[in-house]
Amino acid sequence: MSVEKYLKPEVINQIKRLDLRAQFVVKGFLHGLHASPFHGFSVEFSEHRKYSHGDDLKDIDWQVYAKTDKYYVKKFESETNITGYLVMDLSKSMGYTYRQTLNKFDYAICLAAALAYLMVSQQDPVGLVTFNEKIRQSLPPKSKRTQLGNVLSLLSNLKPEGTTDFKNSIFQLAAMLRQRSLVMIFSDFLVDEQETLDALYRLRHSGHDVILFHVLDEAEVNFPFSGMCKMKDPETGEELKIDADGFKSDYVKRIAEFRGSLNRDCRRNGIDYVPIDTSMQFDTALLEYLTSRKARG
Amino acid sequence: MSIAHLSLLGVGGALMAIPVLLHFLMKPKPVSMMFPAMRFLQEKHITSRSKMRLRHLLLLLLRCLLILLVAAAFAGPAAATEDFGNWVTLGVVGLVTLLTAFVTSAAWLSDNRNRLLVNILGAITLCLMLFFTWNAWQVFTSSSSGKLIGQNGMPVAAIVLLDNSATMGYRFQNQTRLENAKETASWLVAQFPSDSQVCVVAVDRDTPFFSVDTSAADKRISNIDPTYDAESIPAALARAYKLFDDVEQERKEIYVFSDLTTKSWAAGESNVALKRLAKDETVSTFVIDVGVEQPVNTGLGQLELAEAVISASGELNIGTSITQTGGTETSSKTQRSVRMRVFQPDNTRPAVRDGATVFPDAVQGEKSKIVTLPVTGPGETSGVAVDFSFSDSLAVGTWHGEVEILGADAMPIDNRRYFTFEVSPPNQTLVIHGDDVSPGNLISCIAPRELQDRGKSRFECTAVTQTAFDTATDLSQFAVVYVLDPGPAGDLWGELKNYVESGGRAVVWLGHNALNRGAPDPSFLTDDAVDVLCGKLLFPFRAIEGDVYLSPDGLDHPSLKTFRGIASNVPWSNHPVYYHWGIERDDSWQRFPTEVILQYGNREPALIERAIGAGTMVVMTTPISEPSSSPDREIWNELFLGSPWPAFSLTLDLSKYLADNGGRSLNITVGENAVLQNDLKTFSESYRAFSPVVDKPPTPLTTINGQLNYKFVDAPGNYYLKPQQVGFSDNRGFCANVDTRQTDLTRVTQTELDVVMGEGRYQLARDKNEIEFQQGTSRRGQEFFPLLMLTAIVVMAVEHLLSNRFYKS
Repeated sequence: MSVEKYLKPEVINQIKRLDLRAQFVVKGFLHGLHASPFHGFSVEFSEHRKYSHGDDLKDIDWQVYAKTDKYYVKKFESETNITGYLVMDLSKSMGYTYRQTLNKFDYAICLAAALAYLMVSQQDPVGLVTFNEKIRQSLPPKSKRTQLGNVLSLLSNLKPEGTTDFKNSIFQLAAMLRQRSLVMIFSDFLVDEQETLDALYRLRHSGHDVILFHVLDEAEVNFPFSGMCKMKDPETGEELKIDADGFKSDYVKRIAEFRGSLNRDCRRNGIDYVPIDTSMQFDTALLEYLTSRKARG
Repeated sequence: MSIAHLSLLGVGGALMAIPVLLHFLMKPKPVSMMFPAMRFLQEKHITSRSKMRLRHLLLLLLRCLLILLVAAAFAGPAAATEDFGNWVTLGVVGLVTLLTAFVTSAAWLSDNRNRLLVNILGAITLCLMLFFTWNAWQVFTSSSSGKLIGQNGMPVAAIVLLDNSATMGYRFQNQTRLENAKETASWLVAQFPSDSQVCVVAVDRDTPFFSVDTSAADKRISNIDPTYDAESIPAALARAYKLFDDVEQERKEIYVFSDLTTKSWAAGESNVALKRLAKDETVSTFVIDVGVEQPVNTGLGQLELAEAVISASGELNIGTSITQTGGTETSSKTQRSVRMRVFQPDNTRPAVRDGATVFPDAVQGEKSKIVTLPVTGPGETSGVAVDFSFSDSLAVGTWHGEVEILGADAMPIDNRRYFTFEVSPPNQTLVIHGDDVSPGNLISCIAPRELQDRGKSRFECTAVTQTAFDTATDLSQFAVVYVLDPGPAGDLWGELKNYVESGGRAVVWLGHNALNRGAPDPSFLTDDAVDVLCGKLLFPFRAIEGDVYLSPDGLDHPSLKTFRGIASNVPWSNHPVYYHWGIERDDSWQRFPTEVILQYGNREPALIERAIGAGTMVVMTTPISEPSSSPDREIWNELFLGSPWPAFSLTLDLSKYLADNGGRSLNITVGENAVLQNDLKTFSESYRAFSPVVDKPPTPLTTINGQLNYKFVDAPGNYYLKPQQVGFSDNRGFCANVDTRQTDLTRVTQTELDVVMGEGRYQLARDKNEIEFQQGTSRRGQEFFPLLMLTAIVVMAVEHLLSNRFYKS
């Protein structure tokens, strides 16, 4: 698959007016608790707010104090460089599609390409990490234009294989990241839910901003099968003979529960969860997500 | 429970194996495919696998059930009784209701609930529940024990009863009713399934039996001829019905072919078998009406011969009547010609020529007479009395004749009646009277002087006083011996007893001469006297107030025949009886058949008849000779005072009855035994009896105990007895007529039919189509075919729903 396939001009046109910002920087998520790691870089005044204990004294606007005899702190809307990591699930299950043009991996690459383009165009460094049982490849984050080509070039040469060990891989990633980053994970998360959450908690605990792109094949969401089917797990090779009609409703219900549960847990922990299936136009899905993220602001 | 096509059920059972085999051997190959989200499938796999197996099993069961139901429906199962059938129906309806309720519940509880489907299923379930409730109510409240049902293909045990009585000879549309019935019965027998048992029975008192096969039954039908001595259909039915006691077939049917005339369906006395049949609901009864709704017929009534024995120059008086049945008032008011004729005695005939009997020719001239009679109207009877007077003396012997309505009508059997009479010399009678008793009354009754002078008297009397009577006199030369008011008798009673025992007839009128100081004379109390006098004399009953007179209870006895039509107008009370002897009903009443012919108003016997040996003894307990010319004693009765015609008729008829002892057998009804007294001194010992049926060979007859007994009187007509003994040439004979009740075309009503067959216990049909329809109604009854097919449709629908649901594409 060529690089151009992953990043078509029309997709670029769709997303280029958007940007991707780390939420915690924008919102001052850890404000008052920890010093901003990006202090003094591309700072733009935004508004005043009352001083609270723990604020840096140097941020007190003394002129306001002189006028009002009250402590106000200057609030800044910072535009800073964020380091983004595109974390791609490379397990064999990602190579699955039932009847779509793109399998989950290709679909994830498309998403990743768009995001990489977005970040590079913002001058933000973006890196790439792939994993299955463990981290397989990694590309250090860079904000050069050539980085996009490197990322796509690497991704296009990968083939999903092996099983997934999400927890181990993410723990490994968390250990690798030196600074707070925007971690964008592309996976089908067809692993133990608790292990997934543990891994995400670990990332969040390290202060990273995390976006989960939960990529499922359309067939995995809608279960369009009927009659007797012999299902085979591409990763484990397990086989299961089922009456698809009898399974459908329960399966669909269960997958919805899974996605809902993941969504709730992610939201609770400040993680953006983006459920996507391969029948959706990925640019539309991405645009929708980015728009909503911007709106949240 | 019966199954018409058991093999189909077997085939169904075998076919049922197909879905089972398909289920196990032809399982669809699953489509192999990769699917990463196996984790979620595995979570549901255990429960879904159980559910899937359950669904497959349910579908398998439904498919098996469907095949079984269709096979069972075509196998034609039927229950033995309606009750059982109702219970089976209830069970099946309950099963279907449960099945539908289950499907409805499943549809209701389903995650992907289809409201329209649930509503439709709910409505169907509700309807089924209502139907089930109604059905259950019917079963629990029904008092019926169920009627037989069957199936058209099952062997049947059938009784085919053909009414072959005289009225079945009624011709309509160029076919007698019997021919019509036989044709339909033959068709019916041909319809019976093979292995059926068929009994063809007629109302001719034959013993019913099952024919070996249907072709034998058909032959039996074709051999049935009309009978003129038919028993009633209920009686024949009761006899035939007993055959069902030993049959194996579950389906039992009775077919009665009849013209539904009243005489054929007379219920008669209570019949246990018929009552059992009326209650036996395992038997289907069909009454096939082959009669004509509004028959039109003119018929002769019974012939009444004033005397069956006349003197050589006597008159023959024949009375008859014409009865019109049906027709319009106008058309019936016509004249009908009736011809009466006698046949000349011919010693050379009858004779058999070319296998057929040739009978004597009818006599022309004065011995044949045609009279024209008006027919008054439907249901009315016009009587006619025709006298034959013969100018020259008739030859002594047996004469035959017939009366016939000229012209044809629908039922010829009652257009002709037959008569036989004998011409004999005057009967010699002996009158023994008490010395102070006059025989005048008796003689004026039985042998009036003017008749004697003209040679037309039936009797010639020899009168002697008791004192003058020689006990050595040969009494056997007298046809009748009369004893008028005898006194102390001595050997008279012994003589009289011997005479009667040897076939003589005697009459004793008791009177005052039997008295001895207010009591019976001892000579009246001897054993012989008691036997001859029909009991022991008690004492004279006295009724001087004049309130005792003759008061007959019944008029059946031939000596009372004159009074039959005028019973209420006979002035018995004008002729009081002041004294009469009382007779004790002693043990002699047990030793001899004794009958009280006539009694007084005080219930004491007046006229007693006793059979002693071959003869007849008659005793009257008051004398015929009153009033006495003696003024010294009281008068015993006034029977011959005033207008004495009742006593006159009684005496004459009694004398004719006794004298015509042989003549009584000359005119009988078909079916009776003909018994002719045959004095070997006068007649041949053996005869050949020629039936009026021309192709029937003559029957040899021999005298036994002084009688000729012919038991085969099965057709109306003149029967000739031709002597076989050398030296005798005179024919004897008799005639037989069909009982007028046998030719009565009055139709039975539905109510009367219900009384015999039981209301609602029979199907009435008129032709083949109706028979088939009624057979269908009765046989199919509550077969389970529709029910099973309905159930199969429901099962098919459920199977379709479930399979669609389980295997959505």
